[in-house]
Amino acid sequence: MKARLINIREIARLIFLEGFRRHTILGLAVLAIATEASGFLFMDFFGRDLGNPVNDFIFSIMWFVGFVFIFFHAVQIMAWDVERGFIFPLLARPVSRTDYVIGVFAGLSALLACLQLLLGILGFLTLIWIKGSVAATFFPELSVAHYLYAFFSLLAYQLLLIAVVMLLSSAIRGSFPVLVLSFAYYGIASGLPVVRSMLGTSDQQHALQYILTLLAALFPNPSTYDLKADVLTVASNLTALEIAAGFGSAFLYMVIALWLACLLYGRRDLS
Amino acid sequence: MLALWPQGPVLKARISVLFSIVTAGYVAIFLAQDSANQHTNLRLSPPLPTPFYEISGPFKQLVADILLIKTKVFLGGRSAETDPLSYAENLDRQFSAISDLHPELLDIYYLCESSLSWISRPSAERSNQILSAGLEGRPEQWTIPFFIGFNNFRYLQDNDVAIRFLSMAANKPFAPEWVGSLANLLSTDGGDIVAGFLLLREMRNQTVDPLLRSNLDRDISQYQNALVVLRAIASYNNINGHRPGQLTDLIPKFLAMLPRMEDGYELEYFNQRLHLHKATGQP
Amino acid sequence: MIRFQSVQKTYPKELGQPAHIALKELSFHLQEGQTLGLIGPNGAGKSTTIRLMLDFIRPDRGEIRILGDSPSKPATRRHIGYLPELATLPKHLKAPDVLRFAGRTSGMNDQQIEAASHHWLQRLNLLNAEHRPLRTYSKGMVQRLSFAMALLHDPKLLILDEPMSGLDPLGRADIVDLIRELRNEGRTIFFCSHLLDDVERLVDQILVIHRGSMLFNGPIGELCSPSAPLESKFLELVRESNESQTD
Repeated sequence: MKARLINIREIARLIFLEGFRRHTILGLAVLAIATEASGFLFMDFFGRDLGNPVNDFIFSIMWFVGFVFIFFHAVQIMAWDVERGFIFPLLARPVSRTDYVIGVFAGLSALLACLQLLLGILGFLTLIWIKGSVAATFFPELSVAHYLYAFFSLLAYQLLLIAVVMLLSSAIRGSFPVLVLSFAYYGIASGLPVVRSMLGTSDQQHALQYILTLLAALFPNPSTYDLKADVLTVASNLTALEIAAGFGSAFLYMVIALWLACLLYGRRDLS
Repeated sequence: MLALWPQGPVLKARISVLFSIVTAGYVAIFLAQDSANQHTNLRLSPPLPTPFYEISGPFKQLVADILLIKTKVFLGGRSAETDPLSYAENLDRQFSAISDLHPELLDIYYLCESSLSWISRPSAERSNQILSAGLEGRPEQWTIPFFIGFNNFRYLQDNDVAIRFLSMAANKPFAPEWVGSLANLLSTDGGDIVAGFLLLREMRNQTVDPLLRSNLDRDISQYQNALVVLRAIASYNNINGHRPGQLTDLIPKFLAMLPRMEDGYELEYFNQRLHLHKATGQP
Repeated sequence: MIRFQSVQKTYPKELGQPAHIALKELSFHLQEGQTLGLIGPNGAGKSTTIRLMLDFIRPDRGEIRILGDSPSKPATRRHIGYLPELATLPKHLKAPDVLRFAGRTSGMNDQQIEAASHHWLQRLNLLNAEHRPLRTYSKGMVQRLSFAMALLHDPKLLILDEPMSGLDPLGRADIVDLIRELRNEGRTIFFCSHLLDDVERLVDQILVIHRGSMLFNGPIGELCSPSAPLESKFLELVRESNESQTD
C-alpha cells in the first residue's frame, strides 16, 4: 500500500510540476488576475449594488479559468498517454494503471486547486476592499462561510469534470476526440436542466421524466455547484446536511468516474 | 512568361505600393463604417428567451450583469425625444430576463423603477411583477416593497395595495421611520395627498435618472399646490367648525385663489373631502 | 529471465483498418546474463513483443513470464530497466524530476537517487544540462536521459527498444560501449535495433521475426559468421519467408 501511495504521489508530482512550469498555466493565472482587475472598469454601471457584480465577476473568472484548465491543459496531459508516448516510461516502472489514473487525477487536481486558491484569495480580498470602501447600504453583506462554500463547490464540480475527462480518456484514444466529448458532456450537463424545466412539468410523460432524471444523474448540473449568489445575501443559512449532500454527491460521482477509468485503463491495450 | 514578371527592387516596390493601397483601403472602409455606426440611434434589442441564457450555467449571473450594462448604456444614451412607449416592451423584457437570471442584483430594481414604472399603466404593472422577483432575491431590502407600494399608489391608484407594501417595507431592517407613517397617512383623511407628496419627494431622492427627476419635480409642485388647499380647508374647519361646501368658499379669506393645476392634475372636492387626480393617459 | 510460450497477439479491427495478427505462436527463452537481439523488418512484431513484456498490451493466447512472474504484476517491473524507442518526456520537467520518479517508484531513497543520478548523468554526459528544462534537450539528450532512467535502479533485466535511435555517430558509439559494459557486468539484455552491425557486435542470442512469425532463434554464431555477416543472413531469411508465403 505504501508503495502504491508513493507511486501515486510521484506521478502527481510530475503532473503538477509540468503544469506549474508550463508558461500557459502561469499565463492563465496572470490573465485571470488582469481580467479581475479590468472588471473594475465596469463597476461604474452598478451604483446601488457593487458587491453583486464584483462577486459575479470573481466567481465567473474562476469558473472560466477552471474550464480552460480542464479542456485545454488536462486534456493535453491525457494525450501524454499513448498519443505522445509518455505513459510508457511511467508504466515501465512498478506502477499499476490504477496508480497512473489516480496519480494523474491527483496532480491535475492539486494544480487546479492551487490556481483557484490564488484566484479565490485575491477575489475575497477584493470583496473585502470594496466592502470597506463603500457605504454599508451599497454592500450590506459578505459571508465568509458562504464564500468558502461557493469556492469549494466550484472546485468540487471542476474536479468532477477532471474525473470525467479521465474517464473519457480511458475509453477513447487521442486528445481531440476527448476534447470534443468533454465539451459535449459539459454542453449536455448545462442544457439538460433547461430541457427538464421545459418538458418535466407534463404529467403524462412519465417515461420521459424518468429518462431525464437518469440523464441528470449522469450529467450533473453545473449550476447546482454554482453558489456565488449566496455569498452576499443574508437570507440563506447553511445546514450541515446541505453541505454534506452537495460535496457527497460530487465526491461519489468522482469516485465512480475514476473507478470506471481505472477499470477501462486496466483492460485496454496501450498501443 | 517568368521573364516578364519584374524581379528584385522593382518587384519589392510594387509589392510595397500594393500593400499600402490594401491597407489604406481597409482603413478608409473601417472609418466610414465606424462613423456610420456612431450616427446610428441607440436601440434596445429584446433579449433572447431566458432558457438560452440559463444554458450558460455558472456564468448566468455575469450574463445578467452584461445585460444590465447594455440596458444602462441604452437608457443613458437615448435622446430626450425618444418616445418611452417605443422601448417600453423591450425594456420590460430585458428587466424580466435579468431578474430571472440574477434576482439578487439590486441595481435591476432601482433601474426598473426609475425607467419603466412611469411609462404607462401596463408598464407599472409589469414593473411590479419584476420588483416581485426582488422581494425573494433581496428580502432584506426595504426599497423594493417601497417601490411596489409607490407604483400602486402613484401609477395604479390602488391605495389598499400600496398600504400593504409600504407596511411591508416599514418592517424591513434599516427602513426609515417615515415609511411606516406613510402607510398610516394613506388611510387618513387627505392623507393620500400628504403621503403622495412624501412618497414623491423620497422617490426623487432615490433616483439618479435626470428624466425621471424632472418628471417627479413637476409632480411634487402639483402636490405642493394641493397641500396649500388642504391647509386652507383645515383653517376653515378650525374657525367655522365645519368644512367648506365647495372650494370657492375658501376664497379670499383662506386662499387668494385656487392654484392652477398642470400636467393633467386636477383637484376634486367631493363629500367635503379633497382628492388629487391625474387624468388617465398622463405619464 | 524472459520466456515466451506460443504467444499470439491480434490487433482488433479499427475504423479503416482490418484486424491483423501481429505475433503468431512466438516462443523463445532468454536466460540470465545473456544478451538477445530482436531483429525484423518494419511491421515484423518487434514493438509488439516488447509491449507484451511490459504489459502495455496483453496476448490473445500463450504465456509470458518475466523474471519468473507474469508481466501483469507491476512488482515484476521493479527489476526491469526499459528504454522506449521514441522517448517522449514532458517538456517542462528537468532531469532530476524524472530521475526522482524513476528512483522513488523503484523503492530507492533520496540519497540513493542522488548518488545514482549523479553517476548516470555523468556517464551519459548530461551533468551540465541537469537543471535545464527538457524542452531544451536535443533528441539524443532525451534518449540518453531515458537511458539514465532505465539504469538508475540497477535493474537485472534491460529491455531496450532501438537504443541507438536518434543518436549521432559519437553518441551511438558511446551507447554501444555502454551496452557492452552492461553485458560484461552480467546483466540480462533484450534489445531490438535496425542497426544490424551493432546487433552483431553486442548479442549472444538472436531472434529474427517477420510478419509475426519467428524465422530464427539461437546463438548468433549459428546464424552468421565472418564470411556471412548478419545483414546478408537476415535478408536471406526474409526473402525465403516471403517466397514460401507466396507459394
